[in-house]
Amino acid sequence: MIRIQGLTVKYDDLVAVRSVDLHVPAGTVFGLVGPNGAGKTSMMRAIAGLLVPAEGHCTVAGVDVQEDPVAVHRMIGYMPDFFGVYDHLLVWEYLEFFGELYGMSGSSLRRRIEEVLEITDLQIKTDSEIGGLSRGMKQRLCLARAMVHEPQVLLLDEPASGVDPRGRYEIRRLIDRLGEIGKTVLVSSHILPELSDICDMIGIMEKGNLVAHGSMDDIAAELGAYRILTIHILDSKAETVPGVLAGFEHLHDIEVAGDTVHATLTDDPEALAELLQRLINAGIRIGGIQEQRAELEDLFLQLTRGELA
Amino acid sequence: MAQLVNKPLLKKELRQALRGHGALIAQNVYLIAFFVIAVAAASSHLIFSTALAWRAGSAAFWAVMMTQAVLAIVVIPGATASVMTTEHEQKTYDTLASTPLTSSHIIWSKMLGYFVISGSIMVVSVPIGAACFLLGGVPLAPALLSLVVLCGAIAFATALGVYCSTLAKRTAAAVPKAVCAGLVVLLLFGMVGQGAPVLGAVSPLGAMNFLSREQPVPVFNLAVPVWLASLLFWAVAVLALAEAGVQRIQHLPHQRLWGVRWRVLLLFAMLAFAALGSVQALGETATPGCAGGACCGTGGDTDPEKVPQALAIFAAIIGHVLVALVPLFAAGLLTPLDKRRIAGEKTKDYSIWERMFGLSLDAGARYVMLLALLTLVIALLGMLLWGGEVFGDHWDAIVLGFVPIFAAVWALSMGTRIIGFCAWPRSDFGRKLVCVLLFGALILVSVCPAYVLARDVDEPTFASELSLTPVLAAGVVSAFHISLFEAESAAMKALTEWVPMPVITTVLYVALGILFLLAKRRMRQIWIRRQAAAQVSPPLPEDTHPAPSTPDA
Repeated sequence: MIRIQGLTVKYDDLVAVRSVDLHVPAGTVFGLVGPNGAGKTSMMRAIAGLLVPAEGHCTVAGVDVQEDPVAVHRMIGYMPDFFGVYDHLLVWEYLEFFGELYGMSGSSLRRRIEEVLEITDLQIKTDSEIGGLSRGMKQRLCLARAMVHEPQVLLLDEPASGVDPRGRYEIRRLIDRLGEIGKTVLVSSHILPELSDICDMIGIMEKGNLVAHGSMDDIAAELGAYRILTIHILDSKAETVPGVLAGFEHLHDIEVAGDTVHATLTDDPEALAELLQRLINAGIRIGGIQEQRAELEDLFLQLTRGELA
Repeated sequence: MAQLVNKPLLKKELRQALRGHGALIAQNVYLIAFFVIAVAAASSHLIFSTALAWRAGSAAFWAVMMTQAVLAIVVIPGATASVMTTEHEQKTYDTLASTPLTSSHIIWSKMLGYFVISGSIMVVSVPIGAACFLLGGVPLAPALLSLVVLCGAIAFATALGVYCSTLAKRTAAAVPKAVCAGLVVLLLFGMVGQGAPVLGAVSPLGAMNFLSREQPVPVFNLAVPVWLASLLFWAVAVLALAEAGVQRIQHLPHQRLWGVRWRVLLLFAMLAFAALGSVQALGETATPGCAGGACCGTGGDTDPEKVPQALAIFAAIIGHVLVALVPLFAAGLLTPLDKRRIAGEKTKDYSIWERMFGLSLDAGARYVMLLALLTLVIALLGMLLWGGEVFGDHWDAIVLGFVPIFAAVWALSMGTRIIGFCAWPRSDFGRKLVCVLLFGALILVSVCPAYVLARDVDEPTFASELSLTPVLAAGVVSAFHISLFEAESAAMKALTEWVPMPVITTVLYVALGILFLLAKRRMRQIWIRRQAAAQVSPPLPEDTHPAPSTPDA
């Protein structure tokens, strides 16, 4: 649905995005992760046709953004990071204004306004002046505005920044719902846990480069990622485990605490099977085993080597 | 038009602007003010005799209409200068730009919206104008046509304001530009129009004047209805401004040059028009019956003796405008070169042009200087084309008349940069206000001697016209008066026997400029030392021109 080829964005001498290639399939919730200043907003703005890239081009549903920006604008709903609203308009007027800009009118527009207000839980504020809404409500209204014309693609730049935990939860739930109904969503955030649960694919940006992209599993596999095991040992034999597993090449770290052994293992099913086999062969009985996959945050730190902007 | 204007956007603009108490209060204040003006204008006739009621009606009606025309040109650009800047300030511009709206939709819809809003505020005075009919003396056709002319002026003023709002990202920066531009238009068309009916007729005030006298305007030997000439002129201006605005928002912030080119072209079209109008009007034989005693386009022969006088008027007015604009443009600016120097760059790296202009004048003042240079070229071309032998006699006076202007511009520019380095007041608007007040006082002081000198000249009307205008530097007045009108004053003769007045004025302004330059350097040294002592990177004072937006890069 969204295809980016060789995209480079410059502000005078500053290169904000460096030769990025990316493909976001239709119906995917794609999370763009990176620290502040990584180039996420510039990439979003280039896709939305709000800035002219120095090199490369973006297409949305096969339409080139630079060649036909109006057609692209009809297909996308864009929510900027520093969004604004018209404080003197009423909530319904605001949504009506944007609906009409996209050629909607009459009962279909009214129905759609009701729908998006319901999705964003703003029905009771329909006749309120926007200036009187809280920040979280304005954020949800902005999201409703981005959805009012039923776009195929949603570009959400830091949609949950500056809202309280409940607001963040609601926005996450909303994006999740958009994914379920088949919308293509490109959402950016520098808060990693926000994205790991809701995104089908992830792109990690640092200093204008897209350092990795794909599903969480793909990225983990590409990085040779690991899992953390917590093994409960019976018969007070936990102290013997390090000796048994000595020289096991897939094991990165091992630590004993009472009857529990914490181990970091290569993210490979064969490695886990071999580890268990060695313990059983040594006569060590296992009371239980828990595994924790590498989180997005771990992958991000591993990829960016801690070079946060 | 229907394709250019986007109905939802127009509706939104009207909703936003007319909501709340602001519009109601503005309309009522406006209504009361005009009621007072009308009553005052009418009573000046009524107190003498009730038989003069028809004169009172006429006076009141035209007073209301002309005041509205002046207000339209001065107030509306400032009031509409926020239409685009508020989109940036409220951070709604990106949202708007990501919709299917085109740049033309945005500009034309906002322009039409604010034209309707401005017009609606002005419409409230129609009942007052209508009341004048009760007194008599107001013919119906000119009265209605004056409303047409007023609409043209409102459309132009709105377009000017909307265009100025595309030049900046902050309202505080856009409003002075718009008010300034409105004043320039009023000065150029109003003052030059006094001597040039062609020019005066298309301006709102001039057109009202012609309408009140029920005269057609002579344009190139054709008697054109004044309302038509006025409307055509403003329509072209509105189209040019709208297109310039569209270009600005399409290319902002990538290509700023288009905006500058448009501005320069538009201003110079006006300047050239003003110059030609002045020369033509004063250079031709006066025909009885024409307004102001001078008529153009009637086939009279050019009077070579009056050409320099026309150029003198033109140059003097341009001088006024330029010197008045410098503080507004230049206040609080640090030039890119200053920033480079502070960043540690060596002066030897600068180009010859940067050495000549960049180090002494900031960007705004350079722009003004460019205008002044081209104005000089226009004036000299006028001399060559129309002056004939007169050129040989008076070129020194013309050139010398401009030298003090350049000196004054330079001195004022240097002075404004002191305020820029002080970074006080902290806001851009505050700095501009202080600069205008300071240099207004300075210019008043410099005008006073010129007025005293000019008072003794043979042509008191001309002298007082020049001297009473707000900011004519002593040089222009004295240069032209002394050189061209051969004053009889013994004191002036004695003075000019030793040193020509333009030289005295130039020396004074250059000295002032050097003083400012030294002060500026000293302040810069102190500023850098303080920054070094604080061991922080020097925060540069705010630039008047908005920096290109660099969102989450």
